[in-house]
Amino acid sequence: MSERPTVHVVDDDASFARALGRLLGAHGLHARTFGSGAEVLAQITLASRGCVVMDLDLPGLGGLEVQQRLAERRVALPIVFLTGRGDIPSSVRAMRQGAVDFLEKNAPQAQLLAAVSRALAADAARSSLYNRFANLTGRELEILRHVVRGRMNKQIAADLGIHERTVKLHRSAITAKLGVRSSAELASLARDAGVS
Amino acid sequence: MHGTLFVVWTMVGATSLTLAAVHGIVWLLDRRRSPNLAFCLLAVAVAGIARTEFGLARAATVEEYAQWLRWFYVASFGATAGVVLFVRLYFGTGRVWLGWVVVLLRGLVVAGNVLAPAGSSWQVVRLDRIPVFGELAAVSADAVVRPLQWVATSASFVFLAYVFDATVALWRRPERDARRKAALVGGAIIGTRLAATLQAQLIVWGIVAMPVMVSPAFLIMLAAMTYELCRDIVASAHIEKEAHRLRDELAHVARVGTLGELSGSLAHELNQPLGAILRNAEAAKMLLDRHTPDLDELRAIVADIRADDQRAAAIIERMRGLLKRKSLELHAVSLQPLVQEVLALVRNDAAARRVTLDFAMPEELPPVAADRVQVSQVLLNLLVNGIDAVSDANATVRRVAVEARRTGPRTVEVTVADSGHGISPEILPRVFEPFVTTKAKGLGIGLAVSRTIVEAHGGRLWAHNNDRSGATFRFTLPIAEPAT
Repeated sequence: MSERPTVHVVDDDASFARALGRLLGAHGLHARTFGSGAEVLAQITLASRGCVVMDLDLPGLGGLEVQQRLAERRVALPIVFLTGRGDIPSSVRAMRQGAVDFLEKNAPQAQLLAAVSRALAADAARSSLYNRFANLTGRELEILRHVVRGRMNKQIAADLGIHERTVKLHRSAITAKLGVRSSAELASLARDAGVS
Repeated sequence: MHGTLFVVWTMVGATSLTLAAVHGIVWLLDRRRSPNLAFCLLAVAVAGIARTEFGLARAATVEEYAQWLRWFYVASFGATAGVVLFVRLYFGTGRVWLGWVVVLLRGLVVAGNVLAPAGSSWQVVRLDRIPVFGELAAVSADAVVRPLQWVATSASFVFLAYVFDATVALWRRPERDARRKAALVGGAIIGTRLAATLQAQLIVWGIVAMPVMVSPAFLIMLAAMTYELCRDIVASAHIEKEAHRLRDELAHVARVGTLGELSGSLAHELNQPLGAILRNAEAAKMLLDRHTPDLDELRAIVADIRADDQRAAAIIERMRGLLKRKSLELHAVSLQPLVQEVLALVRNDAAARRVTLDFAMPEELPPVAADRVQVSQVLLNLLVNGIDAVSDANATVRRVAVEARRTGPRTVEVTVADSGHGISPEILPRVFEPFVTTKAKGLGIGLAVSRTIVEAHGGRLWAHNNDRSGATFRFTLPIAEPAT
């Protein structure tokens, strides 16, 4: 169901985007180039896998705005920002919004590849987590949301109009499917997966 | 049959008229040089004196002598008034009222001699002929001195007082050349006048029998004046050259400053092709390490590297052109590529600050007579200011528009309009003054230098606030003469 992991290279400078795409391709990665924020936003969906390598100073829709729009759409693709200038306020903001890395445009190849690998690894981990959650039924997810909020089984049963025992059954099914051992572990995993 | 006297007077007259013509031309070419006009009038009057002196010497009868004497008074009035005017205009010192008294008194003498019957001040009743330089010249043997002659004599003394006063005042001035001018010109005038007055007294009172010969002395005065006037012209040429050099120098400093402000975005712009070249080279290396390199891909990489290298070179060339230090050179310049180049310099900076740049000009706009570098500088300065204004204003419409159009048969007008807050009314009349700035960092010389540059092109630069928002700066440039 999910797509092939792709490095989405976004830079208004076509030649630079092409060169970076070639380099990533030469390293055996699947890369696609985009000339603007709007272009890449049109392409990325919730099913997209991989990461985004994006110029921070894109004309029109800027890198930070693209990051924000992706977040609004709950797309959690890791983003590696490239910049021509060491712009500290922007980098701080980008990192706060969850960017994986922040690199100079002409950073050494090894550094660039390491950042992309980290981004891809983070996406892979998140994606496997997603797959685990994808096995949960609708009812189980609903109960999980209550659990994460710290509610007692009795309260959940009352809210959903079901038996407390049924809630307990669902909870053991959830822990089994996700492979967690404790409620604390369950809560942190759920938070990582964005269940709230 | 002409003798030495004829030769002397002819030479004095011709020399005076030549000098008058030269200084008249100087004044015509540069109307600010009013002392040259005064000199011109004075020299014509001296030529008139020489002519009438010759007439007096050749007079056959007392009636004829009286006729020439009339004209002599007219000419010497011209010479006196000319010197008074010259001293006033050239020295710029002394008491003006003394000058007016001189002109008034000499005016009375002329009026008395021209309007009344001849000989109102000094009437020769008998002529004598004496040899002068081997030639016979008419001289007064007997004459009647009338009261008007005392007016003429007192005019001479007031004249001496006027010139002496002005000369002393000039001598005391702190300027470097003031003392030399005072000594040379003031001294020559006073010396000439003393000689002329002395001679007049000797002749009028019949102490010495000699023809009236004041014009050769006047020539010495004209020579002293000419020397100083020519020195001034040479000096002002030097000053002008120095002013041009300083203007170019200042323009260069301002240009370097503006580019300095843009250095961040220019480095960024340069980083694009450099980054692309680096990544392409790295990719090529990876491809070459394979068993079967993809040659088509490698060819594409090499082509891209080449194009990016040229792109980087073009950016450096643009900057280098603006960093060059050179004097103003006017050529026929097309505005279209010039504006495009300047826009390319600020594009990055504008994009980073979310400012849209617009440019519109008609296709058929003729080339302008301009110095490419300096006009680029003006435009760059106005654009940077415009972008700053829009950024500072935090406006929703973020736009700086450049427009060029023909506004007259010989004029092209370039406008740079921004959508910022506009210029506050207190600052607006002073924006082109040096060191007036609203920016936290910035010397405030950009606009002052820009105006100097535009004016050196024979154009105008001015600013006004827009009706809706922001300000517009406009400058004109002359259209280049079509090449012949």
